[in-house]
Amino acid sequence: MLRRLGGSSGSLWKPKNPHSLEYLKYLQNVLQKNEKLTEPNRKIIVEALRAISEILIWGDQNDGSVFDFFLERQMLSHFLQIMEQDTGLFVSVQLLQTLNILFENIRHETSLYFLLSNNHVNHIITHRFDFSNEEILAYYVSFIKTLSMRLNPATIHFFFNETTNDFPLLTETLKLFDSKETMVRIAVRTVVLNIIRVKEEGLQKYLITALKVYLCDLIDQLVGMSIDLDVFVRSAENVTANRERLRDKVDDLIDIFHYVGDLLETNSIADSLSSLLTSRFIFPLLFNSLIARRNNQAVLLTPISALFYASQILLVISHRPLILSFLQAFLFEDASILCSQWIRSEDSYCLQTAPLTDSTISEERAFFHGLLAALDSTQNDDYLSFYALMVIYAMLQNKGDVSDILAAASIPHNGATGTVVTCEPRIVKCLIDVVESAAKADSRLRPITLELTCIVLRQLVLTVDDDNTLHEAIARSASVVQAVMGTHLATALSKEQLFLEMFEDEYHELTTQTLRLNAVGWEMLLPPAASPFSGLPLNKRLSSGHEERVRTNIQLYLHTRKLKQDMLGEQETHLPLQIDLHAVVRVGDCINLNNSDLLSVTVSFSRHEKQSRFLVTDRLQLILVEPDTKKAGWAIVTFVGLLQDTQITGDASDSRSLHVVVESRAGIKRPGPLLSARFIFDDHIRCMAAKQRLTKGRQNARQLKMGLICDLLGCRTEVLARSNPYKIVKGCAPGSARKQLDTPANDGLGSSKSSSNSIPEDPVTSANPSGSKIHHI
Amino acid sequence: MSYAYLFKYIIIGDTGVGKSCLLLQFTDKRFQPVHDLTIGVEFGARMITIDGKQIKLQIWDTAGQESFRSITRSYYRGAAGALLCYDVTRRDTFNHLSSWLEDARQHSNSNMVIMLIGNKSDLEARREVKREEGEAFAREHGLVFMETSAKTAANVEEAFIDTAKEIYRKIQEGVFDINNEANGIKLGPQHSPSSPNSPAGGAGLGGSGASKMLPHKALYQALCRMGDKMVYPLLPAFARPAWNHAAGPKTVFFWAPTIKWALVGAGIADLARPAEKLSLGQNMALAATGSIWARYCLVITPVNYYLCSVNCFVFLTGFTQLLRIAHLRYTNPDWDKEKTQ
Ligand SMILES: Nc1nc2c(ncn2[C@@H]2O[C@H](COP(=O)(O)OP(=O)(O)OP(=O)(O)O)[C@@H](O)[C@H]2O)c(=O)[nH]1
Ligand SMILES: [Mg+2]
Repeated sequence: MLRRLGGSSGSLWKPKNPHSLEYLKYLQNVLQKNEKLTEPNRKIIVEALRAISEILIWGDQNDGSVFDFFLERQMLSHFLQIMEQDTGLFVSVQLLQTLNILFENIRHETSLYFLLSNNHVNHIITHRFDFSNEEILAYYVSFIKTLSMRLNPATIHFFFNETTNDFPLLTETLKLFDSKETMVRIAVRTVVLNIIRVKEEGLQKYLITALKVYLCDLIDQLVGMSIDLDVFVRSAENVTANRERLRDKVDDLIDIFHYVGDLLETNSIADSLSSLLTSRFIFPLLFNSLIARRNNQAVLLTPISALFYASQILLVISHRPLILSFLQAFLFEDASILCSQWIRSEDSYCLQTAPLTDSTISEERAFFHGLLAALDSTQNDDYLSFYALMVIYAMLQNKGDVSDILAAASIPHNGATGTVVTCEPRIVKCLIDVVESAAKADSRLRPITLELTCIVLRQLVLTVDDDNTLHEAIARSASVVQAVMGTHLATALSKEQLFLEMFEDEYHELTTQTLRLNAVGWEMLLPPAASPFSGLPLNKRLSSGHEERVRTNIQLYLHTRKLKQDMLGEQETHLPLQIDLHAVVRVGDCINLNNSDLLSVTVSFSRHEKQSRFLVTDRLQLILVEPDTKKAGWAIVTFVGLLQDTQITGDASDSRSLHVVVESRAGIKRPGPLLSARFIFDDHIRCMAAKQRLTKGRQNARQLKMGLICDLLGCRTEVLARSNPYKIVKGCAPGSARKQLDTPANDGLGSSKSSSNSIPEDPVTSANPSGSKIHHI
Repeated sequence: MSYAYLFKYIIIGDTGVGKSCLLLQFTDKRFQPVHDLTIGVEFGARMITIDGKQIKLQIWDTAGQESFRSITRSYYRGAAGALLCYDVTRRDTFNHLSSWLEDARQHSNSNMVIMLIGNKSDLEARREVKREEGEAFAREHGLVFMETSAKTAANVEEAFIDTAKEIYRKIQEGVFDINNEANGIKLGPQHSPSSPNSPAGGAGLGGSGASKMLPHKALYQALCRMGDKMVYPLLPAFARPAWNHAAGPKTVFFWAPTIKWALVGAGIADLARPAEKLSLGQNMALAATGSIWARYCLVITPVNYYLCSVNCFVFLTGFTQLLRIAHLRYTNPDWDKEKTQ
């Protein structure tokens, strides 16, 4: 009854089904009745807006008549009417969100056209919302971002009027380009990119002029940020807090490079943008800073920052014409191309044409020589050379097909086809000098610089002609440095208690941490730090103290060793330090213990957590096992730790127990030891036996490995390796056929032991072939 | 509306995993997915309360920015929290997690809180990724994990709010540099206490605006602080989460039911009373309110189990008395005559 009434009288009654044309009619009625926005009807209007968007989306997917009605009644004009009144936060936000939802969820092109016709959307875009309110601003930019997602050659004409050159979406967006809010700036960039990506001729023509000022502002912003960053680099101390601020600044700057890179992919604006970048940023700021100062007023960067920016441009931007003109100037031109400079004017900067003086044209290839000079500055430290190396690295990395121009400068690039390229001897010499400077007494070369040098050298020689002289020359100096480092290490080896740990740590670091140069470059911008309090890892700073010196030497040694091997095409045979790799036992393995000495032990982690296990050792490992219920004499491994990392202390209050701590190996992320527990044995004698076995096992394991390091360094081995007295045959899963692994080294010795002893033999009594003294820890 | 902090979130994951739907579900619960109509949006904001502090969450969706390197880079950096989503019905979306994570870790600031979300948990029949796998991935990479459904709204609140709690915890620990807005955290506008009329700030999305320290409010906060200092440390570990719960002892939702226990007490005391002296009407009323409220407090926000329990007891006592009355009248068919005698 009521429903019928509702239907006839123009939807005065609320229809039941919220997804129907009826309901939309009803809502339209609500809006019409509440044309005037007042405090009491706010809620009603907002709710109506929301419901309308929901119906429209439903209609888009289910019922075409909904959109017809929407269009017929000009419902968007209601939206506008509401907007025109002084709406306040609540309604503005809801209105924008409704539109947002609408434009995001409409799937049919025709529905979209309906929404966009009549120019209402452009009115909404140009409406003066209260942008001082961050919430409205946020909803507004997401709204224009959503709109920009819907742009294509067909829809663009709803936004862009070619005859009047009106494009509110773009012009309104650009007004927000330097908003304080990061997310707003990002949205603005997204909108701009979405717009220029639309392939429509009229639009592209329009963009060339419309974006001119914006692009110029963008580059000037880049200039301002670069100078600001440079000032920071000059003045800040190398501590963690400063590096964090630095990182923010650098990231903002590199974002602009990326943005420019994305913009350059659009043909219409690429030319003007790349000429703006070269004429306002690269030449007057970067290149000007690479040669001697010519004018007292000019704002120049330190060569450090200039080279850093240059490397970032090469790493980030791959637009070929820009990169070619950059490299052309950088590698071949002289200072005569510099005809302008930045000067400070009040609190901003302005570009000024700089008159040429006679002295400026004198040197040929001025910037290239600047690069070489920077490379060659390792006498003091590697601060500047690191960034010169970064530039060469970045040139080789650039994705813009640069091999021809690099070949012209005798820089071999692996993209080069056919022609054999020689390598610029001055660059090679500089690089070799960097490597050799590692061997100097009180060298201030940081390991990361050496690593980068090695990377660059490898890439350079990769495509160089196959006459091996270059490889050999590099290998020769690498081996000189390696030898010097080797002797340093040999002295340290006998003095440092923890040399083995250091060596294995550093080797592990080196093999697992790949250098991420496009991320790491900025970390070295602040002057080299020496103290661990700077928060930098050791390879990125100078060492302080004896132990760090040893570690640095290990790193330098390992880098040069690898470089030499690569140059000579040798395989690494000694590293990582390994003994009988095939006998290594892992957790979950099922091992044969028929011939091993077992000690029954209760492993107690805390008062509540106790486990009953058997303790076994082999040459290198401490192993805890649980007997296999299915196979007599076999057991499942529940824990494995290296004896060399095991520390044992007795318990004064309980003669049956030992405290055992197994430190975790380098590279295991979890902090703290691998195992830390109390081992409780059946009686005092067994406890003593275990203590001796573990102590001695640790000693032996360490001696074995130290022996390997001695072999590696070529120094005399004073400790002889001892073979394993305990036999462990690694088996297969319980139940499957038994597989006897052939381990001749273990076999003979192992079987000589008897396992029938109820009290295990004290290892001290067994023959000690080396006769060396055993120190109990 | 004023807030103490503003946290910016981003929401990432393969296309079609339901990011936009999650976002709208959280920020605007009025969009209930009926008739298979799912609606999404790319931006939303909502106010939440943590530790009695108003916190505004702004959530930004990537939507279509993936093709621009410059955008993704900066986008990650501007956020304090990230929801990394996959679709439990599509294994490929799960397999892509590590590359998303790598991107996020590379570009974001190191303190960004990342929550792993397996969405569409309502589609149990089409599930391809087990819950345990999500848990294992989260454990391995140090993330918080949750399975959600943007359709049924299951766990959606929790996902966003728990992320905020984690960020809030990090702020308390001093890990975040809150003065650097690039971190995705912003301090709320400062109200100077001296200004007598601090602006109430427009019409809120359904809440009162004024945030002046009225005397009763000051008293309340003093009590809360005292409780924090003296009572909270004494609580056993299992009871601690309840202390700051939305229906915990710092709110009226706790004290109202507490007073209601008096009704239960009275009801139990009435057990001693002879059945003929009991009022049928009163006990019917008790049983009825008890049962209605016991149900009602499970559907309101915050869900109030405490209130539920007291109402269960109210119902039980009322009901017991009713049984006694019924028993009396059944065994004594002429009960009302006795009364008149
Ligand atoms: N059953 C079910 N479907 C869902 C759920 N969440 C989202 N969907 C559906 O998944 C589809 C994609 O959802 P969106 O939110 O648009 O996905 P998105 O992640 O935003 O995708 P892009 O914007 O393309 O990156 C929609 O059709 C929704 O109907 C859910 O929890 N359960
Ligand atoms: Mg989406």
